[in-house]
Amino acid sequence: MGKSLIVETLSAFYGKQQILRHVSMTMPEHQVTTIIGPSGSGKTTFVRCLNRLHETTPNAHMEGSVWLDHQNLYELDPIIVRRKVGMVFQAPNPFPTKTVYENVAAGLRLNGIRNKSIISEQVEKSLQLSSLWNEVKNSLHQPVWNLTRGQQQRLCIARALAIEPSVLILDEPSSTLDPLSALKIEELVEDLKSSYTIVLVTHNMQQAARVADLTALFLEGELVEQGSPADLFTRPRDKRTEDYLTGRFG
Amino acid sequence: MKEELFIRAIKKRKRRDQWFFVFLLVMGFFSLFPLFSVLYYVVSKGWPGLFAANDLISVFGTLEMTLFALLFAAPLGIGLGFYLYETRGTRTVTVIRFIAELLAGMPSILVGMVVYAIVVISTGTFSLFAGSVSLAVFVLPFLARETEDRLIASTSTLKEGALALGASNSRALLQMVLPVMKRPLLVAVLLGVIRAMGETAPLIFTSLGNNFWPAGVFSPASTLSLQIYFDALSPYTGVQAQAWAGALILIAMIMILFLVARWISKGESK
Amino acid sequence: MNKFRKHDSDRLFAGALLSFALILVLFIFVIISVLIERSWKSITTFGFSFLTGQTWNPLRHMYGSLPFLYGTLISSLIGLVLATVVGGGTAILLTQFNHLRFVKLATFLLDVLATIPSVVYGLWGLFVLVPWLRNTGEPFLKATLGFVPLFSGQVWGVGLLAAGLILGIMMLPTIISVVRKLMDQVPQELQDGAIALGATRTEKVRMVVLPYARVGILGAVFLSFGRALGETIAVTMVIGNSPTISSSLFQPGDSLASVLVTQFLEASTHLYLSSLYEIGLVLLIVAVLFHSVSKFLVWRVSERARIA
Repeated sequence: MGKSLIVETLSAFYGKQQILRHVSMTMPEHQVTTIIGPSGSGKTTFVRCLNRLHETTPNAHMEGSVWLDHQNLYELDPIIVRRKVGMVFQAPNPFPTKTVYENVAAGLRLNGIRNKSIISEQVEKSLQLSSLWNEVKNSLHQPVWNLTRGQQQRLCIARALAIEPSVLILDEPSSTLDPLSALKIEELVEDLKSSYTIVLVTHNMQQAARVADLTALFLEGELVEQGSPADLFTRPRDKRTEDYLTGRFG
Repeated sequence: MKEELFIRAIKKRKRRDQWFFVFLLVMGFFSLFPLFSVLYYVVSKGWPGLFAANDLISVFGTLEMTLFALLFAAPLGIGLGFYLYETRGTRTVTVIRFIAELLAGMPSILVGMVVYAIVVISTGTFSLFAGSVSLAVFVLPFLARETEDRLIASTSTLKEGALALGASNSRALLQMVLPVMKRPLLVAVLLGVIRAMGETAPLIFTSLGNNFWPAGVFSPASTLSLQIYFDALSPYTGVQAQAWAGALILIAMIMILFLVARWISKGESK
Repeated sequence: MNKFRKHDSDRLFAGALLSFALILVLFIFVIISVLIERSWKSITTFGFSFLTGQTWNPLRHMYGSLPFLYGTLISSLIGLVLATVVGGGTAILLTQFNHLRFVKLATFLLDVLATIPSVVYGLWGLFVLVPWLRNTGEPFLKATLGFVPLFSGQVWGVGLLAAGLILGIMMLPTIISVVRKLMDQVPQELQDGAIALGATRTEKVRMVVLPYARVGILGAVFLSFGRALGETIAVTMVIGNSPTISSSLFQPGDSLASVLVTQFLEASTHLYLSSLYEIGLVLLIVAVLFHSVSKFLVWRVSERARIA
């Protein structure tokens, strides 16, 4: 299912302020690409450009191109883009007025799937992928606030997976969770990478080192350096990377 | 194959989205249309009869009555607003707060009936004074809530700062907060004036209306709103025209006050 | 020493503020007791039949307030439905489609709309809306929906429909501003969540925004309804002032507040005046009821927003 995501000279703006400067990089399929950098470095904006969420903010726009499967996402309908590129946010954001089941089914229903057996099959599959099925299979029709935050975040992952995207973006998915739940999310990312192209934003360098196949460092809206975590963390090529890693930056 | 179905579904969804947008635009148009219609008719029908002698009597009646009402209601309303602000979150004020809300939500005509029963009957006459009292009671809860909202909006950090420096609670309020609050409070009072100016119902039983200059505070007096109401119900077109002229003057006065209030609050936010 | 004085001045200040609050309590106490005292004769004479009596005829000493309750509720209900649909739609337009250039202008104009006095709406209603309803609006409704009893019978112009329309217009600014505030409270993460799943703006509104704000919107609706019930002058000018109960919206009616305006100063007997005071009391109770319910609902939503 997974396909490489190729970004070419991507720039992003809020009004006149430029947030990202000419970023080019490739996020290979079946691999986990982690995006690291201090807050305000443009990590989140970068991933929000990948599923064209950035442009929904007032006054925001972007330039450049993002390729997936030989298609430029910026020339497609954003709704199609968001079906191909799923996203999980920093804090769990399940729809509070819907049940567990309906949260996962929401994307399917949006896409006009009415067949009940297809939906429940897909819901079960997605919940199993996000290793939540065993915990919620008896409370599928309960409100979501009965779940723990960690479960809610995995529910959001299931929700994103239900529409079978090629790419899964996770924007600091475990930063607001307790360590145990965070670990579960991390294991989940490992499991999922065989079938998806995964982009993981994190401020946690240990986490980046643990799960990444490829790591990219952003500083002040620029992609400073990318490479395997082993290279980037131990043999940085760029002076700024070294400064950042040793805590001398910003 | 599945992809094609999906794309066709998207087209349908986008069309629905656009229709919904059109529907919303129509709703937005309906929201604003009455404003334009009212303004158009008030100006075009009110202009010809603008300079009738009766208007002047009503203008002065409106100004006098509003002034008296605010002289009474502004200190009380602002004081009450400070009270609500100061005691926020404590359990003992929930009753007071509920009563303030209740008074604010009460139909103004009831105020007129009560003021009639108390003031008009005890003084033996409908009067400008009785009208002022009813307007004062009418705007009081409004002023209190506006004051409270503005205090919350602009001062909580300021007051905490003053308290942190060791000022007592009352000093913090009076010396630090009050000077900064001058403009917001002025805006609140102006909005209260606007509300009081246009109010009609309670005046019918208290001030009654008068075609002549009132003999004093304790005699019946007309206001623009009363004049508009009575003239509009007259069978004579000439008198109806005076209602429109009165409406034009009233709207013009309210607009000026409204723009001044906006201008003041804009200056403050800079 | 210094500490003691500080404490003292604070207490003086708190006392002064408390006295303002006590004045308020006094007000409400006076208002309620005057209304009860003045309507006592009517209450003891008619008892519960005052509320169920369908005839209001002062010449024959018959005082039944049902026609006024009916007219008040129906006209307010018409206004409410119109204002909820139109105002709700406008609020969605202004919050969810906020890349539009005219949002600021529209906000300003809606603020202006809110300052127009009731009596001017009444004037406009009487000389612009009512003739239009008589000549165009009501004949059209009769021709298209005449099979429904609501839209049948003779066309007057003045009547429940005219009153409802005016009330709807007057409720708009409040409904729009409250619903806007509620929609602004819908967390951005939730809205992003819907968009990231591929929802269109419309679908996002239906999936996330409306469900999240619905209790508060219900509160806003109740709040406006409570205000509409007590709205007086504009309604008096267009409702037709006839104490009848009719299934047709085209027919003239009367409301609790407007019968007070038109008959209070004409009340020639003690019982007549007392009955009018009882109408005032009924109006107060109804208005307070809806006001309290709405406050509770809005409070519950903001409380939930605070917790989340």
